[in-house]
Amino acid sequence: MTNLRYGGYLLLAMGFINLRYQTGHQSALLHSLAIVIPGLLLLLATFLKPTQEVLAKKNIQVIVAIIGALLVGYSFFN
Amino acid sequence: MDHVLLSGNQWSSLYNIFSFGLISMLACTVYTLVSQSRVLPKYRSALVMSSMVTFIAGYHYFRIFNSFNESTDMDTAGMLHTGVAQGAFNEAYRYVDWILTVPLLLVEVIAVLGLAKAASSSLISRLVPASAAMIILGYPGEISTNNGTKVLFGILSTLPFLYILYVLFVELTKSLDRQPEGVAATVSRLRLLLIATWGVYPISYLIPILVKNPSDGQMASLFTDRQIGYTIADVLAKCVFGLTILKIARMKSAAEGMADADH
Repeated sequence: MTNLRYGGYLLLAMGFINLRYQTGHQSALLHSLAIVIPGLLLLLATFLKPTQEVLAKKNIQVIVAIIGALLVGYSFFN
Repeated sequence: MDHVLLSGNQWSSLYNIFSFGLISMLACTVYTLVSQSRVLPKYRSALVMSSMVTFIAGYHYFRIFNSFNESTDMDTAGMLHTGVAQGAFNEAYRYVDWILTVPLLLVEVIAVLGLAKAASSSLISRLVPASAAMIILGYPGEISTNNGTKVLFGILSTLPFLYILYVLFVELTKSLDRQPEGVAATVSRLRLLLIATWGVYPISYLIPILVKNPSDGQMASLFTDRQIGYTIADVLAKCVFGLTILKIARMKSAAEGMADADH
């Protein structure tokens, strides 16, 4: 759960840095929110009991890791 | 920053220092990640935090590097105008990185010491808000063009900085008694590294206040020196700091019986 929490924080951080550097670009906010919102949701989910149970499942963790990696990649190229 | 006129050498120096910052952060991220198996599981979260800090900073340098390239135009005389082309270059963006990573740096220190839960929670609950306050209070001064505002927010952000030093040097020292041999000395060096590297930031902050009505050439030199200073301080405060955390984790793992911690 701690590693998922770190992952959520990482997405949130990268999304915010992404937002600052896109100021003035078209659809800046939308591009950055696509990273910030999943990060925020993941971070919150690691603190709530019902979602913690879901996140504890191995296959869910794999899916979250894949989506997270894709979003990190997206943050470099958008 | 609206616009600064750089010579070819100044521009190349900045190009190289940003590349250095970027690759140092990414290399350090990889190194601390692959070193996870060299320490006991209870110290791995400190290494994960170190990896996160350097990865976030590496991403930030990737953006700084692109922003710097994209915002520069060359005039007919061969001078480089930064901050005029696509987008804008602004060192205040660094504050976004700092507010996200500096609290984590302090948590790393506490995590790697493996203190009792109550002691660690108490230290974290004081250090994290203080570090966030230090950066938030510094930002209005950094973006202000008024020296009075700069001085005011400089003083305000120094207060939490002094509090952090107090916690690290007075409160944390009480928790170092039961650390294995050599760890207390390494933690002391880590704190000195922190003061030395964090000391660069206020100096860079103060430079624009000390130079009155700078010419274009002075502006360019100030800008170049500030970026170089910030980048070197970032590499020391994040990469070298992270490697010291790894060293402490390995010393503690070895002291607690991990057979291959010295490899």
